[in-house]
Amino acid sequence: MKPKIRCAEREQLFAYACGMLNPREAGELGTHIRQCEACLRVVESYRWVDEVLDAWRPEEPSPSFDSRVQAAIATGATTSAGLWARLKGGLRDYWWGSGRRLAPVMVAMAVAVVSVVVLRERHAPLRPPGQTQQVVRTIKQPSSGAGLSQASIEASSSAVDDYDILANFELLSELPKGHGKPEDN
Amino acid sequence: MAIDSDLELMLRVCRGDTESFEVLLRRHRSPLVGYLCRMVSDRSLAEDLAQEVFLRVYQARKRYQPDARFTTWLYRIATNLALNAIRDRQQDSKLNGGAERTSDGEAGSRLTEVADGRPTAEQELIRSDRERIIREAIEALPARQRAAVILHKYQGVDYAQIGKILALSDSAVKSLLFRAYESLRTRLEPLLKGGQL
Ligand SMILES: [Zn+2]
Repeated sequence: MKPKIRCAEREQLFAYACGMLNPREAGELGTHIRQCEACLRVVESYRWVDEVLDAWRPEEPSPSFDSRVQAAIATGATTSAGLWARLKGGLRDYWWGSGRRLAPVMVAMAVAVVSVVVLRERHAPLRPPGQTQQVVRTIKQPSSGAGLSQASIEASSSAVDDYDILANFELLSELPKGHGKPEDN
Repeated sequence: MAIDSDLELMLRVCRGDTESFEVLLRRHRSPLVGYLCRMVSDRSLAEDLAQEVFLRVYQARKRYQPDARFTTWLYRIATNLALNAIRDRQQDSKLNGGAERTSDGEAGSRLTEVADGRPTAEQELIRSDRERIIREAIEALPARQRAAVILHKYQGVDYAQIGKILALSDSAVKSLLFRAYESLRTRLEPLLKGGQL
Protein backbone atom coordinates (compact mmCIF):
# COMPACT_ATOMS: atom_id res chain seq x y z
CA MET A 1 0.00 0.00 0.00
CA LYS A 2 1.36 3.43 -0.96
CA PRO A 3 1.69 6.04 1.79
CA LYS A 4 -0.95 8.75 1.50
CA ILE A 5 1.28 11.69 2.42
CA ARG A 6 4.86 12.33 1.41
CA CYS A 7 7.75 11.55 3.76
CA ALA A 8 8.26 13.97 6.64
CA GLU A 9 11.37 15.97 7.44
CA ARG A 10 13.71 14.32 9.93
CA GLU A 11 13.01 17.06 12.47
CA GLN A 12 9.30 16.31 12.24
CA LEU A 13 9.99 12.59 12.68
CA PHE A 14 12.09 13.40 15.73
CA ALA A 15 9.25 15.48 17.19
CA TYR A 16 6.93 12.53 16.54
CA ALA A 17 9.29 10.08 18.25
CA CYS A 18 9.50 12.32 21.32
CA GLY A 19 5.77 13.00 21.51
CA MET A 20 6.19 16.68 20.75
CA LEU A 21 3.52 16.92 18.05
CA ASN A 22 -0.04 17.97 18.66
CA PRO A 23 -2.62 15.16 18.40
CA ARG A 24 -3.69 16.07 14.87
CA GLU A 25 -0.10 16.20 13.51
CA ALA A 26 0.82 13.03 15.38
CA GLY A 27 -2.23 11.23 13.98
CA GLU A 28 -1.43 12.17 10.40
CA LEU A 29 2.24 11.35 10.63
CA GLY A 30 1.48 8.13 12.52
CA THR A 31 -0.69 6.96 9.63
CA HIS A 32 2.17 7.64 7.22
CA ILE A 33 4.81 5.98 9.38
CA ARG A 34 2.78 2.79 9.66
CA GLN A 35 2.96 2.54 5.86
CA CYS A 36 6.51 3.84 5.29
CA GLU A 37 9.46 1.79 6.38
CA ALA A 38 12.00 4.58 5.72
CA CYS A 39 10.26 6.99 8.08
CA LEU A 40 9.70 4.24 10.64
CA ARG A 41 13.44 3.49 10.68
CA VAL A 42 14.23 7.15 11.37
CA VAL A 43 11.67 7.31 14.19
CA GLU A 44 13.09 4.11 15.67
CA SER A 45 16.64 5.47 15.56
CA TYR A 46 15.60 8.39 17.78
CA ARG A 47 13.76 6.06 20.12
CA TRP A 48 16.88 3.95 20.27
CA VAL A 49 18.98 6.98 21.30
CA ASP A 50 16.42 7.82 23.96
CA GLU A 51 16.56 4.26 25.30
CA VAL A 52 20.35 4.19 25.36
CA LEU A 53 20.42 7.37 27.42
CA ASP A 54 18.48 5.57 30.19
CA ALA A 55 21.67 3.79 31.21
CA TRP A 56 23.29 6.94 32.62
CA ARG A 57 22.53 6.78 36.32
CA PRO A 58 22.19 10.00 38.32
CA GLU A 59 24.48 11.10 41.11
CA GLU A 60 22.94 11.64 44.53
CA PRO A 61 23.72 14.57 46.84
CA SER A 62 26.25 13.85 49.57
CA PRO A 63 24.82 13.34 53.08
CA SER A 64 26.06 16.74 54.21
CA PHE A 65 24.30 18.64 51.43
CA ASP A 66 21.17 19.71 53.37
CA SER A 67 23.09 20.80 56.42
CA ARG A 68 25.46 22.87 54.29
CA VAL A 69 22.54 24.70 52.67
CA GLN A 70 20.75 25.14 55.99
CA ALA A 71 23.85 26.34 57.77
CA ALA A 72 24.51 28.92 55.08
CA ILE A 73 20.95 30.20 55.33
CA ALA A 74 20.82 30.11 59.13
CA THR A 75 23.99 32.11 59.53
CA GLY A 76 22.74 34.60 57.00
CA ALA A 77 25.94 33.96 55.14
CA THR A 78 24.20 34.05 51.83
CA THR A 79 26.77 36.23 50.18
CA SER A 80 29.83 34.50 51.51
CA ALA A 81 28.24 31.11 50.90
CA GLY A 82 27.72 32.21 47.34
CA LEU A 83 31.31 33.25 47.20
CA TRP A 84 32.33 29.99 48.75
CA ALA A 85 30.46 28.12 46.05
CA ARG A 86 31.92 30.34 43.38
CA LEU A 87 35.41 30.02 44.77
CA LYS A 88 35.26 26.32 45.30
CA GLY A 89 33.37 25.83 42.07
CA GLY A 90 33.60 28.18 39.13
CA LEU A 91 36.65 30.06 40.27
CA ARG A 92 38.45 26.97 41.41
CA ASP A 93 38.97 25.99 37.82
CA TYR A 94 39.64 29.58 36.89
CA TRP A 95 42.30 30.01 39.56
CA TRP A 96 43.63 26.59 38.93
CA GLY A 97 44.20 27.55 35.33
CA SER A 98 45.56 30.99 36.14
CA GLY A 99 47.78 29.59 38.82
CA ARG A 100 49.13 27.05 36.43
CA ARG A 101 49.64 29.67 33.74
CA LEU A 102 51.31 32.04 36.15
CA ALA A 103 53.46 29.46 37.88
CA PRO A 104 56.36 29.56 35.39
CA VAL A 105 56.26 33.38 35.41
CA MET A 106 56.26 33.47 39.19
CA VAL A 107 59.06 30.96 39.38
CA ALA A 108 61.05 33.02 36.88
CA MET A 109 60.38 36.17 38.91
CA ALA A 110 61.38 34.43 42.13
CA VAL A 111 64.56 33.17 40.50
CA ALA A 112 65.27 36.70 39.25
CA VAL A 113 64.73 38.16 42.72
CA VAL A 114 66.86 35.48 44.29
CA SER A 115 69.61 36.07 41.70
CA VAL A 116 69.62 39.79 42.43
CA VAL A 117 69.84 39.09 46.14
CA VAL A 118 72.59 36.57 45.57
CA LEU A 119 74.50 39.04 43.42
CA ARG A 120 74.08 41.80 45.96
CA GLU A 121 74.79 39.71 49.00
CA ARG A 122 77.15 37.10 47.71
CA HIS A 123 78.42 36.28 51.16
CA ALA A 124 75.13 35.95 52.95
CA PRO A 125 73.81 32.34 53.26
CA LEU A 126 70.60 32.00 51.22
CA ARG A 127 68.29 29.16 50.34
CA PRO A 128 67.13 29.93 46.80
CA PRO A 129 65.61 26.48 46.08
CA GLY A 130 63.55 26.64 49.25
CA GLN A 131 62.24 30.07 48.37
CA THR A 132 61.33 29.01 44.88
CA GLN A 133 59.43 26.02 46.15
CA GLN A 134 57.57 28.24 48.56
CA VAL A 135 56.36 30.41 45.68
CA VAL A 136 55.20 27.42 43.70
CA ARG A 137 53.35 26.02 46.70
CA THR A 138 51.58 29.33 47.28
CA ILE A 139 50.40 29.48 43.69
CA LYS A 140 49.28 25.89 43.54
CA GLN A 141 47.31 26.02 46.74
CA PRO A 142 43.97 27.15 45.27
CA SER A 143 43.89 24.19 42.91
CA SER A 144 42.97 21.96 45.80
CA GLY A 145 39.91 24.06 46.57
CA ALA A 146 40.14 23.07 50.18
CA GLY A 147 43.37 25.00 50.46
CA LEU A 148 41.46 28.29 50.64
CA SER A 149 40.70 29.52 54.09
CA GLN A 150 37.42 31.24 54.86
CA ALA A 151 39.41 34.36 55.78
CA SER A 152 41.05 34.55 52.39
CA ILE A 153 37.67 34.18 50.72
CA GLU A 154 36.22 37.00 52.75
CA ALA A 155 39.27 39.13 52.05
CA SER A 156 38.76 38.74 48.32
CA SER A 157 35.00 39.07 48.52
CA SER A 158 34.61 42.30 46.60
CA ALA A 159 36.52 41.04 43.59
CA VAL A 160 34.52 37.85 43.49
CA ASP A 161 31.26 39.73 43.90
CA ASP A 162 32.10 41.70 40.80
CA TYR A 163 33.00 38.56 38.96
CA ASP A 164 29.72 36.95 39.92
CA ILE A 165 27.66 39.88 38.73
CA LEU A 166 29.66 40.09 35.56
CA ALA A 167 29.30 36.38 34.88
CA ASN A 168 25.53 36.53 35.18
CA PHE A 169 25.33 39.68 33.15
CA GLU A 170 27.36 38.08 30.39
CA LEU A 171 25.13 35.06 30.41
CA LEU A 172 22.03 37.20 29.93
CA SER A 173 23.62 38.92 26.98
CA GLU A 174 24.51 35.51 25.54
CA LEU A 175 20.95 34.32 25.61
CA PRO A 176 18.93 35.26 22.55
CA LYS A 177 16.88 38.41 22.99
CA GLY A 178 13.86 37.34 21.00
CA HIS A 179 12.39 33.93 20.66
CA GLY A 180 14.31 33.14 17.54
CA LYS A 181 16.09 29.99 16.51
CA PRO A 182 19.06 29.14 18.65
CA GLU A 183 22.44 29.44 17.08
CA ASP A 184 24.86 26.63 16.81
CA ASN A 185 24.57 25.61 20.39
CA MET B 1 -3.07 13.97 53.58
CA ALA B 2 -2.60 16.20 50.58
CA ILE B 3 0.97 16.95 49.59
CA ASP B 4 1.65 20.65 49.48
CA SER B 5 2.47 21.98 46.06
CA ASP B 6 5.73 23.79 45.44
CA LEU B 7 3.72 26.95 44.96
CA GLU B 8 2.01 26.67 48.36
CA LEU B 9 5.32 25.94 50.03
CA MET B 10 7.04 28.82 48.31
CA LEU B 11 4.29 31.25 49.31
CA ARG B 12 4.78 30.12 52.91
CA VAL B 13 8.54 30.61 52.57
CA CYS B 14 7.73 34.17 51.42
CA ARG B 15 5.92 34.68 54.71
CA GLY B 16 8.98 33.54 56.64
CA ASP B 17 8.22 29.83 57.13
CA THR B 18 11.64 28.16 57.02
CA GLU B 19 10.20 24.67 57.51
CA SER B 20 8.48 24.96 54.15
CA PHE B 21 11.83 25.80 52.63
CA GLU B 22 13.27 22.62 54.10
CA VAL B 23 10.46 20.63 52.47
CA LEU B 24 11.33 22.23 49.12
CA LEU B 25 15.00 21.50 49.70
CA ARG B 26 14.36 17.82 50.47
CA ARG B 27 12.02 17.50 47.52
CA HIS B 28 14.31 19.02 44.91
CA ARG B 29 17.90 18.45 46.09
CA SER B 30 18.36 15.05 44.42
CA PRO B 31 17.05 16.01 40.97
CA LEU B 32 18.90 19.30 41.14
CA VAL B 33 22.25 17.80 42.13
CA GLY B 34 21.73 15.07 39.52
CA TYR B 35 21.03 17.69 36.90
CA LEU B 36 24.07 19.79 37.76
CA CYS B 37 26.36 16.74 37.93
CA ARG B 38 25.35 15.85 34.41
CA MET B 39 25.74 19.44 33.28
CA VAL B 40 29.22 20.14 34.66
CA SER B 41 30.61 16.59 35.01
CA ASP B 42 32.11 17.40 38.37
CA ARG B 43 30.33 16.30 41.50
CA SER B 44 31.89 18.73 43.90
CA LEU B 45 31.30 21.70 41.60
CA ALA B 46 27.73 20.48 41.00
CA GLU B 47 27.01 20.40 44.74
CA ASP B 48 28.44 23.87 45.20
CA LEU B 49 26.28 25.16 42.37
CA ALA B 50 23.21 23.39 43.77
CA GLN B 51 23.84 24.96 47.14
CA GLU B 52 24.11 28.32 45.43
CA VAL B 53 20.79 27.69 43.63
CA PHE B 54 18.97 27.04 46.93
CA LEU B 55 20.54 30.09 48.50
CA ARG B 56 19.45 32.25 45.60
CA VAL B 57 15.94 30.84 45.79
CA TYR B 58 15.85 31.71 49.48
CA GLN B 59 17.30 35.16 48.92
CA ALA B 60 14.82 35.88 46.12
CA ARG B 61 11.79 34.37 47.91
CA LYS B 62 10.02 37.71 48.09
CA ARG B 63 10.37 38.19 44.35
CA TYR B 64 8.96 34.78 43.46
CA GLN B 65 6.21 35.10 40.84
CA PRO B 66 3.50 32.51 41.45
CA ASP B 67 2.73 32.48 37.71
CA ALA B 68 6.03 30.72 36.99
CA ARG B 69 6.28 27.06 37.94
CA PHE B 70 8.68 26.61 40.85
CA THR B 71 10.79 24.00 39.03
CA THR B 72 11.07 26.28 36.00
CA TRP B 73 12.46 28.98 38.23
CA LEU B 74 14.76 26.53 40.03
CA TYR B 75 16.14 25.08 36.80
CA ARG B 76 16.53 28.50 35.24
CA ILE B 77 18.80 29.61 38.07
CA ALA B 78 20.64 26.27 37.98
CA THR B 79 21.06 26.35 34.21
CA ASN B 80 22.43 29.89 34.25
CA LEU B 81 24.97 28.96 36.92
CA ALA B 82 25.94 25.77 35.08
CA LEU B 83 26.33 27.53 31.72
CA ASN B 84 28.50 30.16 33.40
CA ALA B 85 30.66 27.47 34.97
CA ILE B 86 31.00 25.62 31.66
CA ARG B 87 31.88 28.84 29.86
CA ASP B 88 34.51 29.73 32.48
CA ARG B 89 36.07 26.32 32.11
CA GLN B 90 36.10 26.52 28.32
CA GLN B 91 37.64 30.00 28.38
CA ASP B 92 40.20 28.78 30.82
CA SER B 93 41.01 25.80 28.65
CA LYS B 94 41.42 28.05 25.59
CA LEU B 95 43.82 30.25 27.53
CA ASN B 96 45.74 27.17 28.55
CA GLY B 97 45.77 26.00 24.96
CA GLY B 98 44.88 22.55 26.13
CA ALA B 99 41.94 20.26 26.49
CA GLU B 100 39.08 21.32 28.71
CA ARG B 101 39.74 20.20 32.23
CA THR B 102 36.73 17.99 32.46
CA SER B 103 36.93 15.03 34.68
CA ASP B 104 36.75 12.44 31.92
CA GLY B 105 39.32 10.21 33.46
CA GLU B 106 38.07 10.43 37.00
CA ALA B 107 34.35 10.56 36.47
CA GLY B 108 34.01 6.85 35.86
CA SER B 109 35.44 6.06 39.23
CA ARG B 110 33.17 8.61 40.90
CA LEU B 111 29.98 6.95 39.76
CA THR B 112 27.83 6.09 42.68
CA GLU B 113 26.94 2.54 43.44
CA VAL B 114 23.29 1.79 42.91
CA ALA B 115 21.68 -0.96 44.89
CA ASP B 116 19.62 -2.45 42.06
CA GLY B 117 20.24 -6.11 42.58
CA ARG B 118 23.84 -7.21 42.67
CA PRO B 119 25.52 -6.99 39.30
CA THR B 120 28.66 -9.02 38.81
CA ALA B 121 31.92 -7.16 38.43
CA GLU B 122 31.86 -7.84 34.71
CA GLN B 123 28.30 -6.58 34.31
CA GLU B 124 29.17 -3.51 36.31
CA LEU B 125 32.20 -2.89 34.09
CA ILE B 126 30.11 -3.10 30.93
CA ARG B 127 27.51 -0.83 32.46
CA SER B 128 30.08 1.72 33.59
CA ASP B 129 31.66 1.65 30.18
CA ARG B 130 28.32 2.29 28.55
CA GLU B 131 27.65 5.14 30.95
CA ARG B 132 31.03 6.63 30.12
CA ILE B 133 30.24 6.59 26.39
CA ILE B 134 26.86 8.24 27.03
CA ARG B 135 28.37 10.83 29.35
CA GLU B 136 31.09 11.71 26.87
CA ALA B 137 28.56 11.97 24.03
CA ILE B 138 26.44 14.40 26.04
CA GLU B 139 29.49 16.32 27.26
CA ALA B 140 30.56 16.81 23.66
CA LEU B 141 27.33 18.67 22.85
CA PRO B 142 27.31 22.48 22.85
CA ALA B 143 26.29 23.66 26.33
CA ARG B 144 22.70 24.64 25.57
CA GLN B 145 22.03 21.44 23.62
CA ARG B 146 23.40 19.57 26.62
CA ALA B 147 21.05 21.46 28.95
CA ALA B 148 18.06 20.80 26.69
CA VAL B 149 18.80 17.07 26.45
CA ILE B 150 19.35 16.64 30.18
CA LEU B 151 16.22 18.63 31.07
CA HIS B 152 14.16 16.69 28.53
CA LYS B 153 15.54 13.22 29.09
CA TYR B 154 16.52 13.05 32.75
CA GLN B 155 14.59 15.78 34.51
CA GLY B 156 11.33 15.11 32.68
CA VAL B 157 10.85 18.80 31.89
CA ASP B 158 8.51 19.40 28.93
CA TYR B 159 9.70 21.45 26.00
CA ALA B 160 7.53 24.46 26.86
CA GLN B 161 9.25 24.67 30.26
CA ILE B 162 12.66 24.08 28.66
CA GLY B 163 11.86 27.11 26.51
CA LYS B 164 11.23 29.19 29.61
CA ILE B 165 14.40 27.91 31.27
CA LEU B 166 16.60 28.62 28.24
CA ALA B 167 14.64 31.68 27.03
CA LEU B 168 13.79 30.04 23.72
CA SER B 169 10.60 29.56 21.74
CA ASP B 170 8.95 26.12 21.54
CA SER B 171 10.13 25.65 17.97
CA ALA B 172 13.68 26.69 18.90
CA VAL B 173 13.70 24.10 21.71
CA LYS B 174 12.50 21.38 19.33
CA SER B 175 15.21 22.35 16.87
CA LEU B 176 17.85 22.36 19.62
CA LEU B 177 16.80 18.91 20.81
CA PHE B 178 16.65 17.59 17.26
CA ARG B 179 20.24 18.65 16.54
CA ALA B 180 21.35 17.20 19.87
CA TYR B 181 19.75 13.83 19.15
CA GLU B 182 21.23 13.79 15.65
CA SER B 183 24.71 14.22 17.16
CA LEU B 184 24.01 11.67 19.88
CA ARG B 185 22.80 9.12 17.34
CA THR B 186 26.17 9.30 15.59
CA ARG B 187 28.23 9.37 18.78
CA LEU B 188 26.38 6.50 20.40
CA GLU B 189 26.65 4.21 17.41
CA PRO B 190 29.56 2.27 18.94
CA LEU B 191 27.07 0.99 21.50
CA LEU B 192 24.87 -0.40 18.75
CA LYS B 193 27.77 -1.94 16.81
CA GLY B 194 29.44 -3.23 19.93
CA GLY B 195 26.20 -4.93 20.89
CA GLN B 196 26.31 -3.24 24.25
CA LEU B 197 22.62 -2.61 24.33
ZN1 LIG C 1 7.98 8.17 4.72
